[in-house]
Amino acid sequence: MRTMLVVLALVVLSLWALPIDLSAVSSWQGLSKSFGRLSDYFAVFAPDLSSEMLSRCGVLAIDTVAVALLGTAIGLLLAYPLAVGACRAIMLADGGPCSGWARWSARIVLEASRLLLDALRGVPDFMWAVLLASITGLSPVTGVLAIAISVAGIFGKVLSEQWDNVANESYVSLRSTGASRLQVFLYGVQPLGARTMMSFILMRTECAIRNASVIGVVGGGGLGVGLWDEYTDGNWPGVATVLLTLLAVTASADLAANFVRRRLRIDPNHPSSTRALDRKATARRRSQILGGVAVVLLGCLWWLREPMGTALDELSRIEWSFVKPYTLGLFQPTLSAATWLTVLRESVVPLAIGVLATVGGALLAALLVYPASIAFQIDSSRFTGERVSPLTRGARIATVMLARAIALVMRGIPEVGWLVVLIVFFGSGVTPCIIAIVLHTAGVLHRVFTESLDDVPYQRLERIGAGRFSTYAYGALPSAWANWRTYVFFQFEVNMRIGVALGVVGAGGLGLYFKNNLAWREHGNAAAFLWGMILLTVAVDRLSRYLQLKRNRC
Amino acid sequence: MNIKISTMRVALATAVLAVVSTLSSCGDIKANANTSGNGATQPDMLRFSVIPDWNKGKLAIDAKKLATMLSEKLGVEVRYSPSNDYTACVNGLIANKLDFVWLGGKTTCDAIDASKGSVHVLATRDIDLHFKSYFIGNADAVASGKVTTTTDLSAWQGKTADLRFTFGDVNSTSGHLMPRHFLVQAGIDPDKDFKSAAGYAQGGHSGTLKSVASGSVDCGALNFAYYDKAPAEEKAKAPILFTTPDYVDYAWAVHDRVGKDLIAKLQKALLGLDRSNPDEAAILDSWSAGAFLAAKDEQWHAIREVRDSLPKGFLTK
Repeated sequence: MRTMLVVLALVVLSLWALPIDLSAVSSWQGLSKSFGRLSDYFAVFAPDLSSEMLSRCGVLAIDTVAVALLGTAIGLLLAYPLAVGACRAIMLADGGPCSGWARWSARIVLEASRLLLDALRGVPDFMWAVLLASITGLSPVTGVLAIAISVAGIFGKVLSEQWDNVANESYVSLRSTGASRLQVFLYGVQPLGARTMMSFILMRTECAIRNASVIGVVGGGGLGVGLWDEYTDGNWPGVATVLLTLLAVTASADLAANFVRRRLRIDPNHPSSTRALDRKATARRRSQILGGVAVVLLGCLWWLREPMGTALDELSRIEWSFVKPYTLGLFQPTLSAATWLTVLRESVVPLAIGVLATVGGALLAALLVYPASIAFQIDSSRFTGERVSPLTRGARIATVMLARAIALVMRGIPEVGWLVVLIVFFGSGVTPCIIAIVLHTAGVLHRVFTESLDDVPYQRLERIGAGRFSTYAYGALPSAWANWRTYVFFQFEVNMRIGVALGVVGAGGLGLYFKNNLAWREHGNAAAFLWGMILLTVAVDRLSRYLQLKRNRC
Repeated sequence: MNIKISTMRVALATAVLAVVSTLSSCGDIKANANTSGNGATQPDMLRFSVIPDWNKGKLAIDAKKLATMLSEKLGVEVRYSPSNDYTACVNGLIANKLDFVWLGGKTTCDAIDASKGSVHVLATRDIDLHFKSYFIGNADAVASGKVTTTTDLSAWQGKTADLRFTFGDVNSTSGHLMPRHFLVQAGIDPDKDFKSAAGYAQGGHSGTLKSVASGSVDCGALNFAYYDKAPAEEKAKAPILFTTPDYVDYAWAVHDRVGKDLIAKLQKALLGLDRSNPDEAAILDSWSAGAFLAAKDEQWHAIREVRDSLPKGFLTK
């Protein structure tokens, strides 16, 4: 109840803080004008299907996937050493260095690694792209690096926390054999976390494919660039084609990841038959997967060989005397009180956007959960005892598919994609940004909401002994609630960053100030707004730790 | 276990090989593109970019035509490299990622200043010496008397409180710097006196025109040359309210590292574009230029003064 009141208060505050313009929908006249604009521009959504446009979209789609996969892979490689450095169990374990000097230096490495991970994570990935773009240019390389850096930050933290959480007893026997700290890590600690990590890596890869499209808008290459170019050129058939391509790519990634995740997950209601433990088969399967991943990554390298060559060539010629003041400038924020007051004031914009979009998205997702739930639409006879005619059963299966398809489309189109459509409808400003994030959030939350609902064991629902909907409302919902709340809070963190990102492309706030100051070469001011973003992310991160929420989503 | 390790090793070895071969092929590209030095050796490739101030799709086509023409005339490969925004053009020129760039008035001064004098004006258009901005208004807003045509912006004082106004790109001379300058001179603070603080349209000057024509905003300011070339039906939806006094705007800027000889050749090629040749006339037309003219850095000094004297509150407030 108290949580509800707090959320309600936050929503009211956010509505009050943002200049929300509803003139597009507040009157019939406004509405008809808005719809007129939308149908004018999209000519009832007729995509440009010329072979030229299609082949361009195909190339951009492969770019996007290659950027996301390579970025994630490089990020993982960077994350491992950083995570080892940030892991207390490894750096400061018993049996580790005991002399004062060695222990101190281990502690310094530990703290430095943690700080570095915070900084890598604190700056959102698209912001890395903005920063890197001045050196690597409008190129997929910018996208790869931006994703690699943020993935390294996130993985490094998650890995080190996970290793720290591996109970000491589980590898104490290994230590007793006299294994070195590195050996204990390699054979004792690391394998225990491997299974959950697989699932997490998969999820991050999928996120990277989505984020790659947003990063494209600020210079990272791929479909994002295509989308933004077509949009700023006012070429609506082109926008439609890029959006559909984007949807095809993200939806395929989504479904593929879902498929693999289902095999990794242990579903209490649909237990998979236990496979006999066959060491040879496991080893073979593992090597097949590794080989497949290696081939795919090599393919990505090959696909991006040209932009990578150009980037290397440019880097070799770059005049570092220019890069030095530019980069150093961003570490020296202005100390002007007026600027920092603006930083503080403008931090409210992404925060408020985050609150409204997350609450709105969560409500929309919650509405769609019941019709999409396998437990309540398809398996309900297993706990309510009702008899379902084949016709009803068919209708319910159709409901599930429809609800899931809606959610798939909502999350398949990234926030920027929704934004360009909504700007036509609402005009530019904060309103279309919020609604764009609401739609995407609803799709993302819908998946995890439904999953955690369907994970409630049917035996527990059986005990309630009520009809379908009552069982949902009084049995399943309360069980899934804690999970839902955690997911919603993470989504808030993500949405706040997206709020900053959309600021760069028109919503205002920290992002826009940062970009404008870079444009006017006021690097001290730009630095202040950049640090504002980092501090904001760190503050929300610390809040989530304080509320003891575990991080497991993107 | 053995199987696993050996396959992993094979995979790892392949990966290392692939990375090495990719890197070495990148090395080849680098070797082909002879480094330019300080003009001692003539570079065998020139890279240029253009600020994305109108339609990026059309810009890419026009720029590639120019690249082909210049390559033929100079006997050096000239490559067009697209830029995401104005800032990237300036930074690219200074950082040795670009050799010459088509810049706006403000960004020309930015490039000269930030390069500590290593960047110079190479050429400009006939129209740039007498450039202006238009303030345009949504046709419905004009009809209802919400915005008015004027010859003196100070007539708008006190009448802007429920107007939504948009500039173009924050780095644009004709879409932001000069319109802001003239508003401030007329006693109007664009960040306070409009309904919501003045915005910055996406998509260059065509974005401004579209926003005003569609009624997303009530009025805006843009480059007169682009407006004059826009389709008549779009202009009818966004008539001109005010025309600013003249100022100096766009220029081709080049970095000294290209070397004196090649700079002279490049300038000659640009100034020599001939209207009687249909291909060259097409290039001039896509640049809205009658001809390219030689010009001196000092001619942009007035723009620098406007840039430096403009109240900078909009960056931090």
